[in-house]
Amino acid sequence: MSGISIIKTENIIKKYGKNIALDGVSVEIESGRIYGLLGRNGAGKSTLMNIITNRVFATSGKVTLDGEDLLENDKALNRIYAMSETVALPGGLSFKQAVNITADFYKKFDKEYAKSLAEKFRLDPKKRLSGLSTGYTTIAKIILTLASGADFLIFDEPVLGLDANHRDLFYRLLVERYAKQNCGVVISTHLIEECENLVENVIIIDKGKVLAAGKTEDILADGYSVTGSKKLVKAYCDGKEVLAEKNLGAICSAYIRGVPYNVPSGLEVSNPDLQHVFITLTGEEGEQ
Amino acid sequence: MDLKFETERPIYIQLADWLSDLIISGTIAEGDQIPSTTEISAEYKVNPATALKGINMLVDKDIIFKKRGLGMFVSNGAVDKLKAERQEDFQQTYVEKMCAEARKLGISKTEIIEMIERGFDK
Amino acid sequence: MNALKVYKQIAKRWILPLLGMYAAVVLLMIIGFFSFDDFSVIFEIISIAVAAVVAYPVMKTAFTTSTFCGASRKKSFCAVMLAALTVVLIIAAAHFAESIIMYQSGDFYSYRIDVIGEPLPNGKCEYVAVDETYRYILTDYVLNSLSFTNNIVFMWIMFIVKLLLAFFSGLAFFTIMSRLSGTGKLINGGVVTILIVLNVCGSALFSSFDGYAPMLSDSFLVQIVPHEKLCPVYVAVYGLLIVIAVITAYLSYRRKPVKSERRV
Repeated sequence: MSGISIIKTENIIKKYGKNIALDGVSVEIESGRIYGLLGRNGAGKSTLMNIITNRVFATSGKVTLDGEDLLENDKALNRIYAMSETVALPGGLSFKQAVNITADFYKKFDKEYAKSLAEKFRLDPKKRLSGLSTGYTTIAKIILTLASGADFLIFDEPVLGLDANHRDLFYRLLVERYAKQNCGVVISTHLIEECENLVENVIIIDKGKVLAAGKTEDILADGYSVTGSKKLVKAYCDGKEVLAEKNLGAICSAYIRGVPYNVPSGLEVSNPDLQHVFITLTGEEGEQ
Repeated sequence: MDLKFETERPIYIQLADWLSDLIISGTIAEGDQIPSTTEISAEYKVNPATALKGINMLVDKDIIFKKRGLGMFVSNGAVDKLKAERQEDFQQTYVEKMCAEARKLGISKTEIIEMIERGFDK
Repeated sequence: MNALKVYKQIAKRWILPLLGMYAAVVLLMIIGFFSFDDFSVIFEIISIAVAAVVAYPVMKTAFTTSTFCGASRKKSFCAVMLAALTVVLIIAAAHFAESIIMYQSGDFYSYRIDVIGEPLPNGKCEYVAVDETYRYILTDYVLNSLSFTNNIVFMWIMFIVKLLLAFFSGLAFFTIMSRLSGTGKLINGGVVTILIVLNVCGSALFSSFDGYAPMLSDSFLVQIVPHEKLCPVYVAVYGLLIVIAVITAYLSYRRKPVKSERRV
C-alpha cells in the first residue's frame, strides 16, 4: 500500500426503530496506525464497524475511504476486512473451505500464512466452523482477518474465549503483521488493559456517541487524579472541571481535566491509565 | 528480561530505560544486536511506533547505532556513557527524594549517613 | 467480478445439486420409470414450487458470502438474478426433455390441424400450429394450461417467465421474512400476501379451465384481450409482476440486517 489511506465516518446516525444505536458518530481511521475502539457492551462499537463494512446501513451519514463513498463500493470494501461477532460464512463450512472462499474475494489473501497460523493455534483446518468452541471460533476469525491482506483490519472482540497463551500469540501475530504490511488496525473491545500500550489511538464511544478520540497519550494527558482528604480535594477542585469523584471513607479522589498546577501539599497527583480513564468517562452516575 | 509498565512515565521512556539497564548490566554487550522493534512490540504488546521512539532515544544518544538492513547494535562505549548519565541523574532521582522522605519522617542528616554506610557494607 | 464470485458459491452449493437432481429425474424418465400420466402434472407443480423454494438458500448464500467477503449488496443481488436464470433454465430444460421423451415414447398421436377439440365453455376454440402431440403435452402437462397460444416459442417463453416469477416472489417472500421484526410485521406480512396473490392471479388471469389447475382458471384476460395479442400481453403482465417481485426482493435484501448472535 502506498501513501496513507483513511476511512472517515461523517455524522453517522443509526436508529433501530425508536432506539438510537449511533448518534452522530464522526471518526477517522488512518492506515498505518492501531486504533482501540473502546466502549461498554451495547455502546455501538459493533454497529459502527458493521456500518463501515456495509453489513448494516446507516440511517443517515456517510462513510468514505480516501474520499470515495464506501456504500455499495466493492472496490473499497475489498480493502477492508472485518472480523465479525457472528460466525461469518455460509454454515457447514470447514475452516479450509472458508479460507478458499475468502481468498477468492481478497486478492492479497495469503493462504500459506493462514495455514501456518492454523498450525500455530492448533486449529484443525478440516473441522467445521459451526462445530468449533467459542475460543476456536474466535481463532478462526482472527486467522481469516490476519491473512486477508486487506489494507484495514478490523477486529471485533478478538480475544473472546481465548486462553492466556492464545491471547499472547494473537497480539504477537498482530504486531508482526502490522509491522510488515503497515495496515490500519482497529481493535474493538471492552477489555482494555491487554491492549492499552498497543493502541496508538483510541476512540471511546458510549451510548452511540464519541466521548473521546485521539492519540492515546493525549487522552491520558488530558486529565489527572488527585487524592487526599475530602476537604483538601474539594477545595482544590473548586473551579476545575471534575470528571469523576470517588470517596473512600474520609479520603477522596477526583479525576480532573487539564494539567495539575499549584497542587497543595497533602494531595497526591497521579496519572490514570487508559482503563481508568475509560471507566471514568463511561461510568454512570452513582456507579463507581 | 521482565518488563512491567507503570502509568507515571511514558512507555517509550520506560522502554529506553529497560534497554539501558540491559546494556549496563551487560546482558546485551557492546557490539551485540538488540531486539528489533517488532520483536519488542510483539513481546511486550506495545505499539511499534512507541518501541521505535524508545529505541530512537538511545540512537540519538549514540548508545545504539543502526546497520542498514541488519538491525540495531550497541555502540562501543555505550556502557560508560550510560553510567555517566545515570550518575548525573542519581542526585535528582535518588538523593533528593530520599532527603525529602527523611525530612517527612524526621530522620537527621547523621542518621541518613549512618544508614547509607550500613547499606553499602551489606 | 464480485457478482461472479458470489455466483460461484451459489452454483457450487445449490445449482449443481439442483442440476444433478433434474438430470436424475430425466434419466428415470428415459428408462421409463415414471408413467407420464401420473408424473407430468406432479412434475410441473413440483418444479414451480422448487423455483420458489430454491430462492431461499440462494439468497442466504449470496447474502452471507457477500457481507463477509466485502461484496456489495448490489453485486451479490446480481449473482442472485444470475442464479434465478440458471435455475429456471435448468427446470425448463428438464421439462423440454420430458416432452421430447413423451413424444418419442409413442403414446401420442402426431398430426397438424388448425382447430382442435370441442369449443371450450367460453365458446372459444383452441388453435394449434405445431405438432399436435407436442402441443398437447406442452399445454396440458408442461405449461399448466397455456392453451390459448399456438406458438411454441411463446409457450416456452411463457413457461420461463412463470418460473421466474415463482423464483422472485419466493425470493421476496424469504428476504422479507428474514428481516421481520416487531413493528414491521404487519406491513411486511401485507407485502408477502400481495406477492402471493400476484403470483396466483398471474396464472389466473390467463388460464382457461383445464381440470388440472382449477385454482388458476379464471381466464380473465383471455376474455378481454384479443386472442392474437394474448401471448405478448401475458409476457408483459408477467414481466411486470417479476419486476415488482424483484424490486421488493432487492429492497428487503439491501436492508436485510446481519443477525448478531451475541455470545458473551
